[in-house]
Amino acid sequence: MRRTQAGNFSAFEELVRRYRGPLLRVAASKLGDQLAAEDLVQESLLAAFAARQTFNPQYAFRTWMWTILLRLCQKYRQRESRPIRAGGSIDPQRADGNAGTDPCGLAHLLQSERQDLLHQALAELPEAEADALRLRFFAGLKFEEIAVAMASSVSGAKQRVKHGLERLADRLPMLSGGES
Amino acid sequence: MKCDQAFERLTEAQFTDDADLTRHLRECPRCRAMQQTLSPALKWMRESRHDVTEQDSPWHQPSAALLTEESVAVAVDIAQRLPRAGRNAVMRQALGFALVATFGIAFGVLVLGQHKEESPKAVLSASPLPKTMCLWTQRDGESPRQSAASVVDSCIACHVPAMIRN
Repeated sequence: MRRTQAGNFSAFEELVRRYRGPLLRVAASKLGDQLAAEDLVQESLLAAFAARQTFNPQYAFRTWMWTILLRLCQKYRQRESRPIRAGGSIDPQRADGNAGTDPCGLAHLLQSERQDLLHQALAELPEAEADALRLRFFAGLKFEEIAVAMASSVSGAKQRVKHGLERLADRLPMLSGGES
Repeated sequence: MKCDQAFERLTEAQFTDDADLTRHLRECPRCRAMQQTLSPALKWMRESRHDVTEQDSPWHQPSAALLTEESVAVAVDIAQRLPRAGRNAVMRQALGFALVATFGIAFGVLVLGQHKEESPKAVLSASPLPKTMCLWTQRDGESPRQSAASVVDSCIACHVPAMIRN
């Protein structure tokens, strides 16, 4: 980030390459809409770039980036004021095409269904717990980083992850029909 | 390895088992139970992480329209708050400790002081009244606070006949 602030913009491209995937995973899970997530991730990265001179490089860029994304996701949800669609949408054409021509089509569908179930279960959790789980597992953040991004204590972040996992462990077998 | 560290290891996004964790789980029934409870959810979270990674779409150049004043303001606001947030947390913690310590000391002094004031010995020694004086008839006067024993003595002196007393 120091190099970007000094005018080396290709350094920011490196940051984009590094962070875009995890940011997208979290945004897609949180919004339940892949396209909106892509827009929001790009908006977050552009906003970070535009505000680069206000960032103090003594602090972790990672934490700043995640906090921007979470805040923009919240604002997007407020703006849209619509119920969260559980999971990413499955493109029927792609699914059909895969099923017909690709020997792994069924596996992809199952994977996609599994992912949808997880996102549905996450959407049913209290938002703070779901966000903490997303940041921990989809973004690979440390508990200290989750705490800063979510303005909580480290033990609070751990509690959120623990309680979220407990609820998921209860809920997922029901959603997937595994309890029968 | 402590339980807290075991929890951190168990909830890592890219989990790899290690000897320390295995040993801890073998020796700690609480963590072992937690691992068993959480394992289905942990499995789903980790597997889904790979699924999403595979479905990541290729990066395309963002359009300028995506950048709004509001999002830049958010980024600026967070950038300005990050350092303060870190310092604030430490300051808040220190202030919290100081407040608790001050309150504890003040409370201790208060309680000890009261305890001293109200101890029977202190009351009795402070009492200038003779044991046989009726406290009821003296209630309007400025008599010092009396111990329970001196009140009883006073009642006995007035109301119990001398022959029974002796």
